[in-house]
Amino acid sequence: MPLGKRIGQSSQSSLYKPAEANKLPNEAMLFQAEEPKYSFDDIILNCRTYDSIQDVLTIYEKRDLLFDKWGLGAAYKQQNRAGINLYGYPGTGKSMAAHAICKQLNRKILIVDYSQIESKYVGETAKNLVTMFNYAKQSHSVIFFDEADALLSKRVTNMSSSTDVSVNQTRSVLLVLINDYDDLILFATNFITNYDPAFMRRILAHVKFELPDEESRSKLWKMYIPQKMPNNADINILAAKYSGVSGSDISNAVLNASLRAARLSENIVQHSYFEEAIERIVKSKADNSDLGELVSRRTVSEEYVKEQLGGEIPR
Amino acid sequence: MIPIMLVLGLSVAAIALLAKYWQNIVKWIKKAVNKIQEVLKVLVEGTRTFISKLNGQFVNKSKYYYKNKVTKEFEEVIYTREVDLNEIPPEIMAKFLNATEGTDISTTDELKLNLESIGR
Repeated sequence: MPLGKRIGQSSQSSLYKPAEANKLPNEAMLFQAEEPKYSFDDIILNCRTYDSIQDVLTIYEKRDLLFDKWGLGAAYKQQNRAGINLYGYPGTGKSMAAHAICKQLNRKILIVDYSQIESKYVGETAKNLVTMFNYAKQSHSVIFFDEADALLSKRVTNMSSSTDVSVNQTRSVLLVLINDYDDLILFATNFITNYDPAFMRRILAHVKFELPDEESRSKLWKMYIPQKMPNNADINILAAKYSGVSGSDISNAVLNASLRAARLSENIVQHSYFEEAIERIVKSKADNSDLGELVSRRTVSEEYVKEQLGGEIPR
Repeated sequence: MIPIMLVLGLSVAAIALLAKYWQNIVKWIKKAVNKIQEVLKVLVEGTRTFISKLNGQFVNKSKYYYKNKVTKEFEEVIYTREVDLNEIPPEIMAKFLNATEGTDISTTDELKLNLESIGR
């Protein structure tokens, strides 16, 4: 399966081996959970998004109350199966929120590196997935599938090649693993419509990440303009005037405005530079507004692409 | 003389309308390619265009192919955009005569031909 590089022996040996991983099989050395890099103090989220996350996390923080004392355990026998899907616009803090969730739960995060899972050898991908889930369990880390639609996309219905069969097998194995896993799994995607419905059913909560409102934009401008950077930006104007931008857009605008001032050797970063920078971003987004509807994003085989493009892939 | 002028005028208008139809598709494809490349940081390897009729509404459909940088797998992205019945070239409309609802009718070859004729 042409799905990614195989991790060779030399790569394995160069990987850091955590203390707890010493008890794990050799294959588990491919995976490395890490300490979360962000907390909720580092992210500015709309109240609705933040509240939705906190509601779901209650299942972990007040498990005894919910499932024992209040008796939910009887009705929700699979209460442990709690996948949280963070979806929404790019640049709205989904990946940072995944770190923050792990930090709040005092857990390590295991960011899934697809290149370490996918193998060109039949059956290896499934084996790697199983190893990864075992590693997460034993290291008490939270599995995080970033750009999850790449792996959770709809299975191919018209299988035209062995690759298609293999892609479907991987998805089916993952489906079983997620179903049987009794711990938290995090997913993040910009393309929720692309998820296989079977995966959708196995996710406990879907949290939408919306573009920031005026209050959040104001906080974002304040956060991204460093205190020691001389500037005369009017944050109230910037936040009120430019809607429809993400935290990532604001971060880019601050950087671009600063670059302009530095290039012109000015003593302060002018308010107008911030406006010009964010206007360029807003304009580029507007240029894309008549793109129509994104109806599907799915993994396909190389053979399928060749067939679609008249026999070969142009280089 | 007047009817000849009228016919000529209408023909020119029809040709201009056709050219505009294909030019709009090219513009749409370029935007989509730029968007995909910008967001996913990939190189779009190829595209195909279709027209389809769903619930009485015609839609232009464009498909894009690229290799995902993370998974190394090929992916297909599909965009659709509603199109007005009056904008659709007659030769494309003719293909719908025997097509069933929801069938994708490829316009890739026509697009290529028209691109050559309008010098793109």
